[in-house]
Amino acid sequence: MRRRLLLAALLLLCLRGVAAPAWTALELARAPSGDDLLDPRLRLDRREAELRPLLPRIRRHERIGYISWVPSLYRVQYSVAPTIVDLNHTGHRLLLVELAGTQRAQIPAGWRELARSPRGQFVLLSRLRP
Amino acid sequence: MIGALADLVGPTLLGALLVHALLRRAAHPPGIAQSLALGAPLGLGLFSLTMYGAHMAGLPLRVWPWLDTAACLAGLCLGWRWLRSAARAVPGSPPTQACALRVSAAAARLITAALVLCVVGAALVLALRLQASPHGDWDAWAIWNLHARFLLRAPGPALGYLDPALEWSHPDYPLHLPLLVLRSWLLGGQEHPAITALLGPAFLAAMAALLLIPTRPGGAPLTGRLAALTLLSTPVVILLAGGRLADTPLACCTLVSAACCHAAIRQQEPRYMALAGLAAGLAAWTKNEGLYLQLALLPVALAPLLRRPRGPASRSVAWLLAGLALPDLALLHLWQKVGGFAGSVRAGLDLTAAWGNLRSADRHLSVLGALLSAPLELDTWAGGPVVTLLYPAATGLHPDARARRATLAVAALLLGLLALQYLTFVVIPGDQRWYLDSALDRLLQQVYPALLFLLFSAGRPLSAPRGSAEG
Repeated sequence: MRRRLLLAALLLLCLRGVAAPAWTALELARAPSGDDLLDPRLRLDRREAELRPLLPRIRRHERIGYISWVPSLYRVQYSVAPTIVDLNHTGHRLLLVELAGTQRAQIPAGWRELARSPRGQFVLLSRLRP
Repeated sequence: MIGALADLVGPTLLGALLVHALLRRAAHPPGIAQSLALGAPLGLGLFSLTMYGAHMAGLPLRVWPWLDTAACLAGLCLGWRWLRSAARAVPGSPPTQACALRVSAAAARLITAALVLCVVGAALVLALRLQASPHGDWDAWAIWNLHARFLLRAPGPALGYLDPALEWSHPDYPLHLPLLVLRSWLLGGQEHPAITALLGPAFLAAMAALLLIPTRPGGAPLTGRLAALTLLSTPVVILLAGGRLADTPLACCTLVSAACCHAAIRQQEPRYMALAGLAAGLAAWTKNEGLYLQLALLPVALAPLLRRPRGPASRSVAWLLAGLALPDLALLHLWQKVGGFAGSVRAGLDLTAAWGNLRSADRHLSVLGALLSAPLELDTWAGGPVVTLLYPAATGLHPDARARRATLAVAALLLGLLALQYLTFVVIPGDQRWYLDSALDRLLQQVYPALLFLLFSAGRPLSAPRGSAEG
């Protein structure tokens, strides 16, 4: 009886050991590239279209702001926290703000608007540290 | 890729030398493979601690690649004789084989073939993860790599990320991973994501090797192969390693602590506790929740003192404290530097609310329900925790009394860890459901490799028929 149980356990462990990574690889290969593969709820929504025109402006500040290291578009949606940086210790800061609903940009004192998305949902601001 | 591999060679070799230097006079000294498996995660951690010391002392970071290379060469020269003597050491007749359960040659070949296929599958998953998220998951990009970039570009020993504007990036987290990322960038000469791509998989490989190669020479290789097979076929383990999050190093530290604690009791060699302590200290140096490992390990080491205050038990505690010393000193120094942020975290803790949460039956039931149901999710765990329970059930418990005592100690360690994680989920302020959804699998994954070690050590070892190459 014990030998049969042991054989069944070994077979199950081996089958699982081969099938599970193959299944995970298949799932990953089927998922759209650049998506967050661990959490399907975090897939891109319509903000992608809204943010896309801002990306060249963000990337132009590559040597200034941390936000420029956004590796692909899907990262941006997390960065609207807002994200501020002074990575190079140059005193420059970059801020991407997402505005909710009909809220209008309340640009804080000392900040300069660099760009705005087509429907005004996102505003890219910069400033020099005083 | 070659540069990324080269990054790992120095710390692995020096870690192995440390293990060998510490345990070469043990009754069953670890062989080269065991020393390398234990040495890789410990060596990486020690390099991170050394970098922290050098950075805080104001040593310019551009000097580091030279120091790194010099340390590796010096270590190799000094340790060459030790490595040769380890290679010559032939383990005596291992007592493990006496109680081993013999399986057929076909079953042994099946296990080996499944492991090979599983390694290929896991490598494919890691490659796909790297292609989809070249910078790793969100936390890798926004916490660990961000802190590394600020350290790299800071003009002096400043922690540049201690800016109120970056409070969302958890500036109170320790620096194990950021300094390893920084080291890779320094050695690679640029901040390229591919350079750090192997950090997560390196810790995963170290865990698989630790399960595959038992800390006891001449242990049961077939059981080790089954354990490594089960680890590498668990989706959440591979996906988190590919995401380069802190959970994989934390899981590795937990496994090293558990394996060394087991070896210390089974082989009656208190020096293993120094490695267990170092791993627990490195867990705390990785992320704040790594402190749980120390809290769970201390009672396990202290309990034998109640029965017999002198002798091996006191030596075990002394070695454990010695292992904890360096990472904990670095952590205390860092806490002092980030005191303001730690203060803001403490200010956010409401003890009255926590006490209220602790008395809420609903919150306990939510955590219990999630803890019992999460491991059943096939997409995440592929039945790993459940299937593994079959192993000790099918083989029966290990007949050796000392092995059983060591297994009980590891079980106590893991129960302590799980209890601390359980309490955290009960008392945590805010939306408990959100925390359970977003963190439970990660926290369980930190315990999982050590749980596999426990379950496969609890059962009788397997051996192939005499004369079989698989044995």
